[in-house]
Amino acid sequence: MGRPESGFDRASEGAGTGAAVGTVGGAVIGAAACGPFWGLCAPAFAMYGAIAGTVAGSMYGFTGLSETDSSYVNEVMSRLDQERDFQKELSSQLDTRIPQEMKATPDSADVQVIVQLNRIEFIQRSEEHIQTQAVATLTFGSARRQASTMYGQEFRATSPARDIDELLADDGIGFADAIDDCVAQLSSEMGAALTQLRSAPENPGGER
Amino acid sequence: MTAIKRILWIAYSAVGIGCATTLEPYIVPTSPAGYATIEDQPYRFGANKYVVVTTIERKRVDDKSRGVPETSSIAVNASEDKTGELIVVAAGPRKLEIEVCKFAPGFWDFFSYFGGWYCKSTVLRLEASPGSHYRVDGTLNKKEDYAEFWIENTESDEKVAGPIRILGVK
Repeated sequence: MGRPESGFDRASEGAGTGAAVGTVGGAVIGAAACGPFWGLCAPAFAMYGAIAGTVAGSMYGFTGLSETDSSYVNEVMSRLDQERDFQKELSSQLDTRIPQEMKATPDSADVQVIVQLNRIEFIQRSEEHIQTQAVATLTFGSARRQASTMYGQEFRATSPARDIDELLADDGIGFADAIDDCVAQLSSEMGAALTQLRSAPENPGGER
Repeated sequence: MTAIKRILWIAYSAVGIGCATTLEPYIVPTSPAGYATIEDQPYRFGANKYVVVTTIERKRVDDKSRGVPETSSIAVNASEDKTGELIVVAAGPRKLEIEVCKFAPGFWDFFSYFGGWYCKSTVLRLEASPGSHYRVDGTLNKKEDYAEFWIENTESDEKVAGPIRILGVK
């Protein structure tokens, strides 16, 4: 497992300081929420709603969709963005999947973890069918070591391809369901990865 | 070279039209329980801007999608010359794809086949009230690189959807 990409540098810095002073890690990142176990920090996306009427391009992406379809999906996601915080939902779902005995306050945690929902992509699989894909990253490192080498692991979840008209029906509730599916998958896989990591809490990421 | 560009442009247009026609046409509801009418600003010869509804609920709006059916009991609160261009929608939440185009030629546009027309589209959500008449409108600012869209109720002149600003028109 290699070092996280440079895009996570600021997040890694936050996690490192978060080990000692708790939520300061969040302050470094921005509007972040640090969870109670393993110093879990969930950086919020500051770009949410940055442009009225559009979804921040760095969070949502379209592959293969026509301009018309992209516009309709964009309209749905703009509203969903106002109503939901998928980043927080991923963080809280992950929280429920971690055994209680593994949880600790940020200052007493052995391992600092940052969970980040990086991207939600809508991919046209056939003329009328769209698949939703979510990509998230767990960045973690030992909180007890001064040299805070951080490690990243990417997780990818996909929902079954569905007819775009079905997804758009009822104000786009189908898209919300598809993203919920992805978030549930991601939290499940992340939970399993963290549980595995528990066997070697002093050696996150296989550090030698 | 010019001929090649023209052929390519025709090919692109053909592909675009081909893609557009995969959408089903929007059919005017003949006897909705409640209805609203929508007025847009189709292109007129000599105009330097037009704003049109291109799709409703992902259904393509064309000439046949416009006008009030003679057999219907829909009363239209609009001037007669616009009646044939009105779009009738059933009351309730409706999503409209709106396109605004503006003729704003720059120096380099004289060498392009777009001929100085810049367009941008977006989808707006309209909560259509029974018996209401709406007008879609928009503006495109090439210099500042944005387009804005809104829908207003013609009786109250109140904006009922938008304005929504979309960046990037170049």
